[in-house]
Amino acid sequence: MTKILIAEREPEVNKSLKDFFQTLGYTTFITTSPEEAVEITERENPNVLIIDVRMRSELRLDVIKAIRRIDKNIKVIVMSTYYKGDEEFKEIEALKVDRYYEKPVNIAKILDDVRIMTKDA
Amino acid sequence: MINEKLHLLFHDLSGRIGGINTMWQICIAYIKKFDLERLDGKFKENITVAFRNIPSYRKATIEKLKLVIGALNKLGSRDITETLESAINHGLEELEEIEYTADTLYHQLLEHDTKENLMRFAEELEKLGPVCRSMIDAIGNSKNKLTALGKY
Repeated sequence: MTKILIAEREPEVNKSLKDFFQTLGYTTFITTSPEEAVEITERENPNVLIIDVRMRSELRLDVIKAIRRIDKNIKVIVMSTYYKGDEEFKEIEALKVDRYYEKPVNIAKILDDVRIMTKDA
Repeated sequence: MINEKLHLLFHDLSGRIGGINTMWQICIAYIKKFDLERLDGKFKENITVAFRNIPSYRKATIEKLKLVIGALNKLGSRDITETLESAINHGLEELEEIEYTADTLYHQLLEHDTKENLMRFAEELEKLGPVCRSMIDAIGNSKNKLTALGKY
């Protein structure tokens, strides 16, 4: 069973994405909290992390680093309002995540990514 | 970064527009992933929730725009402020018109659950994509102009 953790700052977006991925058969966890994202990873061992790296008005790349320390194989999809040209973009780029999407994101593309990334899960 | 407050406000504004964009795409994703026969019960409920979230995010965008404009006014770059305000307000008006038409189509869909009505609803929602994109681009252009002036 493929597990997805969605860490997005907007609760309504989180809930809608959860409903969507669940109807497609994925076990989905959501949180708006950086700390809880790490806790869920420790507890549930998700295959894919879909994360908005700006949480509580701060760039929270430490969350990705902490989650990768727990599971170095986890696939990481970042969706963000940091764009090329923003200082923070370089920091995100340095993390070499599996996919980076500027908001507004394309949900169909993210779904395709999840399918490809988890085809052996 | 010389204007952290404005930087955060731009992110908040982009985030609300991103919320609108996510909601319409979720509606479309349900419609495209499931045929009409399977598109019942829980799926329809999920489409309804996502569709009803669009006006909420549009209204949140209006509130965030006020804060951005307030911060921009303090910088004294009137042309940049007015250009952004005009672009976002134009986008919001377009969004509201699309929402209105989509709402009519949604009610037609509830009355007559046909593939044709479903597709008309989906086609109307897809019009939201370019509007959201243009608003995000307007924010990017403002940031670039402010950066060139050494104000961002």
